[in-house]
Amino acid sequence: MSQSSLSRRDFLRQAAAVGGGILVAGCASESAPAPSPVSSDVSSAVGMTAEEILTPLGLMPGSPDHPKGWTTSLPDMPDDMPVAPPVTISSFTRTDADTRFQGDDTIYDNISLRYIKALFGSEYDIPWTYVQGEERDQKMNLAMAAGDIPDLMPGITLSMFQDMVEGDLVADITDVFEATASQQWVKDSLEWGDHQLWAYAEVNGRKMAFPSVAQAGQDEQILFIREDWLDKVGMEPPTTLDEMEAVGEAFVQNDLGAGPPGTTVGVMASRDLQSWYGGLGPVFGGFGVLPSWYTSVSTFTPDGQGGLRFDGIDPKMKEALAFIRRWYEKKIISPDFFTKGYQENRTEVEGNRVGMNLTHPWGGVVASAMGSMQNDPNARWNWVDVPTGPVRKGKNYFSPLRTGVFAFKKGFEHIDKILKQANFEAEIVLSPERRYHGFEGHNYQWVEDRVEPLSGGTHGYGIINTRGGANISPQSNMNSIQWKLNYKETVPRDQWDAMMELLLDDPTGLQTMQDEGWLFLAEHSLTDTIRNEWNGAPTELQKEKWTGLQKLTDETYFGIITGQLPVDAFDEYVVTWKAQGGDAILQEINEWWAQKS
Amino acid sequence: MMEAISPARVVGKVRAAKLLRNLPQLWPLYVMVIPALIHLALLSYYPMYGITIAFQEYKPALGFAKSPWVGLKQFRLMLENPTFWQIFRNTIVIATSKILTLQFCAVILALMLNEVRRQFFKRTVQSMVYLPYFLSWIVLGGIMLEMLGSSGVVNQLLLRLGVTEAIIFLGNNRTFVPTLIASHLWQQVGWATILYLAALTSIDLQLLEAAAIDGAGRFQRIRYIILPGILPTLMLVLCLDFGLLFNAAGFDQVLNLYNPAVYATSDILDTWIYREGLLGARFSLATAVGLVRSVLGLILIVISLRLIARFTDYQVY
Repeated sequence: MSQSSLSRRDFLRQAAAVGGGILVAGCASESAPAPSPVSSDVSSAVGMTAEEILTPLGLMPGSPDHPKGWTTSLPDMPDDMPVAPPVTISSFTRTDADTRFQGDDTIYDNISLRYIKALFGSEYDIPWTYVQGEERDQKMNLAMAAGDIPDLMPGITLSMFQDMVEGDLVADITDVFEATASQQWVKDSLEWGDHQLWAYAEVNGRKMAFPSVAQAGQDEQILFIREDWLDKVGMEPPTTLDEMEAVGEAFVQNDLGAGPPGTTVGVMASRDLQSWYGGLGPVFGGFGVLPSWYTSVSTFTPDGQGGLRFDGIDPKMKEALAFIRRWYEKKIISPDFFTKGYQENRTEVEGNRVGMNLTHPWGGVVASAMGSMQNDPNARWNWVDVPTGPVRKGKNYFSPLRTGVFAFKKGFEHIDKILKQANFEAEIVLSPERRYHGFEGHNYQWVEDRVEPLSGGTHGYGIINTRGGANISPQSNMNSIQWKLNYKETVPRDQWDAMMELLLDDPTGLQTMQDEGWLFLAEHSLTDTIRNEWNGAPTELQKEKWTGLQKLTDETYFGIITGQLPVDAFDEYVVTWKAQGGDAILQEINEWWAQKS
Repeated sequence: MMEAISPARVVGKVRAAKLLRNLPQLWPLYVMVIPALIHLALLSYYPMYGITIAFQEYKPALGFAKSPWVGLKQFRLMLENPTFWQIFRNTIVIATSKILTLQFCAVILALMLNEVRRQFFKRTVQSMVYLPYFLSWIVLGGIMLEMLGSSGVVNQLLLRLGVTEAIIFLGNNRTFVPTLIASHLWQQVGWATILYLAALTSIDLQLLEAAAIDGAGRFQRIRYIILPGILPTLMLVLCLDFGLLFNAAGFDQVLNLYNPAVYATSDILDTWIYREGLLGARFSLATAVGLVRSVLGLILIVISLRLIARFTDYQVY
């Protein structure tokens, strides 16, 4: 596809349309919430429609009064809501560089929280915030040790959840869920994949938490590549890993990057060998194996004899490491990639030093191409499928089943209110024709007769107090894209309302590039992916051994890639890995697998 | 026949008698100590009951009361960990290297500053070398990664000076520890000179003048008057550092600079405790390692106080 140069105005438009609107943000790695104290009077609103409640308070989404405006059609109000007087719900929330607000709004008092309080009478109190999951876990552990856990705990890890169930700290939501959750919008959505979304949240047949759901293909990768660089070296987009190596080498040898001499990066690599941004997963995948996803206990794949094997010790892994070592020697990947994570790598890509980046469409467009094109109007990006390796074409299958569940404190009385809120919000997320895309003055603003996005307002509130608007169905993002494309084809341009112009006016082609990428991933998610089959809860042995084994693995892999260890050090590593508890873990996992099969 | 009385008992009795005699005048001072004692009791002694989890399989969700007791299992796991001794050795090597290089350079720098006669120049230099001390390793870590990276300013400079390959300072086991020590030196050396500059002011000027009149040159004055003058301070500082050896490896710095490519030389007890304990949620193991570290630290402090008493006039007890 072609892109013209990008003005600041266009850039901002794209930023909101591409990044803000759907709010699924590819990085699926974290969930995060919003809420806090607000000051609207909701004492006698039961029986009114959502529009009647919100309009006088100035909290109606969309711009119904604007001549060209857009009207958000909100669902019917849940029974007996808003609750009066409001109830207080404590819940921690995530905040980071992408959490921004307009005006005087803060994480503790913002448009989303005011909207929730007005509609449902639920007042969210935020005892603490976190940036990364590790920080959340530490603070949760402290909260537990202090006996002061929040009412709603979004996205807590599986092992913490298990401990909390064992310690009798979480509420059994089975009955309230059956009685309150909407059949159409919540229950049916969560039945996706033959009930598998409940794999972690159900304990002994009882629902002990609300499941965490990602989008289909959410963290899967495609290869983003600088088209203008390809033109300069006169090459075609690679279809095999060998071609990718040749292209990367050409980029580096011609030093096409914008940095100081000799700093061009052919292929982005990250200190997390498998990650959604610059992870080399698809390179390993070409050899039919995958390293662990961050530091989680993975990847266990069928061994062809009915059992599961650990990819990390497979002989093909040795070949993959030797292959990447060659890339390192040739400087196709950065000499110090192992010190760089998402933020550092994004800076390099946006600084136009990188030729190829394995990431998903959100990462490739919002977190790469936009910044890159802003810094260099001549930069042109495009994407192709991941290249084929000697064994296959392979990348990580990202299951919509997430391990972080949404648990409620035992004894918490207002779970039904949260579930009613979930019913209402799920209906909006799953019904793109309702045209929800944020609030005027927060997510976008009018400039004459056009809509311009605002950098704030990217803080959504999701289904039950999470960041990310779609944690209900793996298909909702695809549905939105399909609906949008359908709208584009069927409604004449002069009849587009403001929201559709915001979403569809695509002078740079970036929005389309992202949409096409998402659809492609969703279509190919089951064919070209390597699937970690082990999704059981970690056992005591695994908790005891895994950190040590992971260190051994990281040390060996990085040692081999950087040339500090010979490739044959891999053989010794396999023996050590097995002896240090790996074999015992593998046996446990195979017992689990046999039982499951 | 007189009973033999140990000197320590005599000293103890004299002190007790002194205390009682002076109490009517000194009680306000003792009252003023009380808040500090409360602070110590609440924040240092009260939390010590937490070490019980070193003997449990602690889970925050179960709390202290319900977590199962496992005896010495955590200590066994610690010793069975195949990399424990490597980590222990890294801790000692990094800590000792840092202490020795820092004090050596601080003395040299203090001597050099002491010789500077132009106050403006001296103060400017002092301010400049103090500055990094006030930045945390979160900030400094980012600066170092940026500066020492393959495309960073240091490598760009080296390339222009004719070095053919970028040096991956933080990604190679041969260069990591020297880089760690050098950057620690850069951050700390200015601040560390303060004690020595203070010690230098206590040297009798008449001695120096007399030496000068007797024909002693600048280096001779340093060697025979100034160095012996600051030796007690140097010994005191070294002994104190030795007592805190397990803190000296510098968790903040290592955590912000290390990476899996250099685990073999960079992983220290504190980073291990952090990974296993906080990231791996193995609080009991982390506490057990912390307890061992504290007991060893206590022994070192007692030894260092003895050494201080021996080498200097300073006595804590």
